[in-house]
Amino acid sequence: MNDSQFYILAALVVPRHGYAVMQMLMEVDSQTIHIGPATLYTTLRQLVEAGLLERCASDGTSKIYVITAEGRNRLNDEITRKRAMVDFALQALDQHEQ
Amino acid sequence: MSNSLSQKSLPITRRELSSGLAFAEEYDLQRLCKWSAEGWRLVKINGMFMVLEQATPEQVNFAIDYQDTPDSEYFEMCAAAGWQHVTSIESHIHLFKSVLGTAAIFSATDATTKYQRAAHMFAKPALWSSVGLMVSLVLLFGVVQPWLMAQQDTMMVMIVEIIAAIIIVVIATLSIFTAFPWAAYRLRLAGIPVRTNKLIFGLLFGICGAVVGYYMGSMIP
Repeated sequence: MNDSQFYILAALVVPRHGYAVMQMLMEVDSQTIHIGPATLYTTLRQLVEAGLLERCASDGTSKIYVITAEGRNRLNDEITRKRAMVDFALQALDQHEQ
Repeated sequence: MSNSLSQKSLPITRRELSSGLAFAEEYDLQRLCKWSAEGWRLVKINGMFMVLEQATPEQVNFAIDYQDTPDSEYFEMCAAAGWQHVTSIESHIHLFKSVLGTAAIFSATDATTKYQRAAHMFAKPALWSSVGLMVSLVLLFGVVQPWLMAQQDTMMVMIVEIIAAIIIVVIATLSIFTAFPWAAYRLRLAGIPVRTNKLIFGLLFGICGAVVGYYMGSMIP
């Protein structure tokens, strides 16, 4: 799972349309993540095709997306993996500083 | 008077030859930025030509994306992020512009995936047109040419040769405009520099032109 997929899945724990996801991610530190609209559209398509997101309704012309049960499992797995990575790096730094 | 008014209302346009978005995307996008600053706005891309219209000069950036028949949501998302749709080519190549300082249309980590999509889009047409070209060449030199050499009727020979030439040129053109872009995107993904890419395809276009020219020339009695 790449960074864009991770952020988009996390943003869609609550049902939102694509534009709302983009706005939410814009508020995150731009040094941490920038997801352009072309990337967002492609990633939403990929995640829907992979069964990790689903379209739950349509708000006028905008589609509303939400995470699926499978998507939630994958997101939790990824959080565990990333935590383990961070813990490893922190331990390594601590040992070096001591 | 009315004539001069109608002439005034007609926009002044000009055409510029594209370098081929598959081969020199960066160069063409830079030229579009320069023309926009000089007061020439891109209206559409017609085959190998970019049609420009005189307009108020503007400092803008351009970006190109490859999406197979996207829905309105795609263009709405881009517009909301400050990327105005300019034109599309065959519903899968899309050109956008934005004012300077607008955040990129792609994520930094997504820079190469658009070329993967582009290569994927061109893969099937490139395969079929190349197979078609191979089959046509085998039929031409293995069946049609030997049969023509045994014919006495010169008029019929000439007509068949002309028809065969037209078919070969059409299939070869289709093949060049699908297989070459596919190969160019694959080379980009393989990390081949744009300058080398341009050189390779410049040479290939030259060789193809020479072969077609030689073949057509050989038909002149």
